[in-house]
Amino acid sequence: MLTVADAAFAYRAGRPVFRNLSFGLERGQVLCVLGPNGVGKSTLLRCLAGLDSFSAGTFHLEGLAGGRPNLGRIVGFVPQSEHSVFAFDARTIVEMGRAPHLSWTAMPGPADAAIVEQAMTRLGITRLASRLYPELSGGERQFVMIARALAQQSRLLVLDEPTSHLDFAN
Amino acid sequence: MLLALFLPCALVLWALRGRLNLLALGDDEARSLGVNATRLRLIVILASTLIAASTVAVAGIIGWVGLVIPHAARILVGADFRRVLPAPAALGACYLMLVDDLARTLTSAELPIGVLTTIVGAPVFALLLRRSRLGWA
Repeated sequence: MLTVADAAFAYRAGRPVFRNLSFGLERGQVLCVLGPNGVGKSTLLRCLAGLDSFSAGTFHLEGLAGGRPNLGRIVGFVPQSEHSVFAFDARTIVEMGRAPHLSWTAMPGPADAAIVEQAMTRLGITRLASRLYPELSGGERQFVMIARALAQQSRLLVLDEPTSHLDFAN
Repeated sequence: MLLALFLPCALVLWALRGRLNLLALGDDEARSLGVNATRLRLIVILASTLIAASTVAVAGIIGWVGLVIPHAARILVGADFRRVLPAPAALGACYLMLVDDLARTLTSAELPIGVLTTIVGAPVFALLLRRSRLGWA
């Protein structure tokens, strides 16, 4: 489903963050990237999520080739950075994960609401639904972001430091 | 002027209300949710500029309304654009009707409406700034 062969990425020419990187993933498989800080893990994940492009090598992701693919339906991305957003409640944030499945002018319908509810139930955060995102704790925010990625129903989930802010029980 | 510019632009913004929330997340996140933030932002800026311009062309410049009313509306209805879009329109209309009545009746000579909106607007805006923790910043 996902193949990366001999890939490299450089923010500045001649100074690659990583190179000669090859791996593949089948549907249902989990790949965990470990390494010291600053080694380029997030950069690799940004490339996989389609926010940056590899500067060399081949990158193939099922569904991404040809035509004008809708990135949001293929890759769900939970970024590492945490920034302040407007005071949306948690349900509205999770609902944004449905955006790739809706046309520009469409509103989320009952089917989308069910998917949102399901994603939140799966993570056990339905109690947070009407709480305001900026008022949540770091771990609760992380759950909301993961729920949003689940609501995208994408083929590939890219999670950058998904366990940050979470307590040991999680 | 209102029919040719204001109405179509307002309809465009209203049609996009579901997408506007995503712009608040930042470009990268919007992109990973399948939204072209650059294009969306361009459309929104264009539409709102034309709305503002056509309104000024009809009514003239009335200061301190656009600064105060949207912020007040945000505090009332929250951040969701599905509500933030219509709320300031209604609130602003009520506000201007009220201020216009005052401008016509307070003194025997009609006061310029901008004088009144400034007297009301400036202190209210200062107050809003102090309460900026409420989440619209």
